Amino acid sequence: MTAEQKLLNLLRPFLRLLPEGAPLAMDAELGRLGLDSLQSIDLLMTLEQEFGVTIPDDRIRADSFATPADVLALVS
Amino acid sequence: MVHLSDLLIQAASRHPGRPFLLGETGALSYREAGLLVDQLASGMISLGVQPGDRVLIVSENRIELPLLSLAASRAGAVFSLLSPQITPLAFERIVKQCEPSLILLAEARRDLRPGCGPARTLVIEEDYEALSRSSPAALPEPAGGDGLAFLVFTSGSTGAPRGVMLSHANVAFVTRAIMERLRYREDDRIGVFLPMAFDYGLYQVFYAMMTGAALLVGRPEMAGPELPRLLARHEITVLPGVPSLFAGLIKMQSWRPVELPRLRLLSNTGDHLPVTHVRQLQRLFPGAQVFPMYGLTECKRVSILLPEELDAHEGSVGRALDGTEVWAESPEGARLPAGEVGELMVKGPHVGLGYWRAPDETAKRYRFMPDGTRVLVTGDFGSVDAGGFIHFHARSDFMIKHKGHRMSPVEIEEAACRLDQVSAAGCIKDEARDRLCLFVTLTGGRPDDAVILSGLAGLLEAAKVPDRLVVLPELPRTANQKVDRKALRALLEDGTA
Repeated sequence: MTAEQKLLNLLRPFLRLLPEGAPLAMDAELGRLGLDSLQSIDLLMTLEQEFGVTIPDDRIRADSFATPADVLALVS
Repeated sequence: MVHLSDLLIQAASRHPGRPFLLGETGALSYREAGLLVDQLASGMISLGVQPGDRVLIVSENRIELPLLSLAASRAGAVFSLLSPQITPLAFERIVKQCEPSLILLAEARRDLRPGCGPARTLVIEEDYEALSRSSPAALPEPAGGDGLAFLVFTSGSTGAPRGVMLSHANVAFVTRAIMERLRYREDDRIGVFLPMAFDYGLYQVFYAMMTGAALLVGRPEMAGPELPRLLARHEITVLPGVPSLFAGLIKMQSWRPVELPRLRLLSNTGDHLPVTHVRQLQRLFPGAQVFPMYGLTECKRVSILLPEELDAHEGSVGRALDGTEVWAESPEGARLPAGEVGELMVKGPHVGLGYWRAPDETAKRYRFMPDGTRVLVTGDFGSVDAGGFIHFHARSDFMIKHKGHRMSPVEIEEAACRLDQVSAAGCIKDEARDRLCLFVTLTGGRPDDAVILSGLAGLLEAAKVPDRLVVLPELPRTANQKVDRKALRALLEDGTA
């Protein structure tokens, strides 16, 4: 599984407005799909655990969670 | 006569060089802000804004937002800040009610233009510069006093928007009374991450002006993983929040703590802050004081619990503001003795003027006493003990508080019924899990939950989109065919749903 696929699978449970089976594009706006600031904290924790990385503080900003592509950049 | 503008005029003369508004990129001193507000007010007057006119502003938080609000006030107008997520339908209803002479829209909400009616409409990104360089106009003598200062729109019991009217005298009184408890200082730096369309965000501007403190104009989306570092970078000392903001802060600080030695005051509003969260905040920020509070937009603030009262009065939302009175009343209208639970009544100079052009709704919630004082019928149930400490029990009406917003379940149910897939809907809040739950019956086969939820996201503001959907074969109803919310609650509590 590619990192991209792994990320998309991991994102789904955070997106309550995304129908099951509906495609999730890398440039989709996560805020519109239901991700809020409180949930992005849980997402951040999940990312570090699943990808085995520590994301440097200075890279964590509100716009780091705008799209799946932005989130992928965090863990790459 | 007190006027909102006096707060800025006085601050600009007392603390001319102190920073007032802080943005991500720059800062404005009180003197600079005072001059800019006069320019903007002149610009609004040259656009035809007259004393008493309404000015609507739809924008996310930004440094221009408090300036434009204060300018409208300086021009003698009544302003109202609307949520940047407002739906076109709610916006049109508010425009019809308010008949504004001027509307200021953020570029991102240019789509609201067709609903602006005959009002002069500006786009902030395009027109702010020119407005701020207007040639000086004669500014009206501030009238103030019991005159209307601004409107805060909330959901009424039917779900239709309803404008809470606050006067200049209300604001002057309550700002002073709140500061007597919270005691902001001129060297404070307030971090505002709550939307200013939400009144606790807006009032921070007044607290800053009264004390000479600086105010960072943040945005709600910053109150996630980056919040602790933002607080550190901007050396924030005062953080007003709602339970979800503090829940996020507790999570981040427990996981990956950031040193925040300057943070000294946390105040909670919007919804009840669980005692466990109060205790966690105290542990994580030993140098900070935590203030649980209780209030309603109609009077801004009812009570504040002081940090030194926390241990002896755990779970209380504090005593009524000085110069005001709170009591519990029986259904027959009798004042109840200490400790007995009834509907909470609030009396004092902070109780607002009523709802804008809604005499029936006003009559239900406000009592105008012969001596000129006003009593607010809160719709909340609680008790007041012998020491004056208020204990909040429940909302007696069915209004929901969620994510800091007050909302009517009817508005959410009506939106759900506009979706093709839904035949009936009932909405309640699962307080234990802090989730908004929508129960529906369907017209046909079962679609994916997200289809319904995303359909609702197109009709409602984000905070009103349910967190959980439960499909039922039939919706429980009361004898008079209303949604039976008690039965829905029972389904949640016995684990059926």
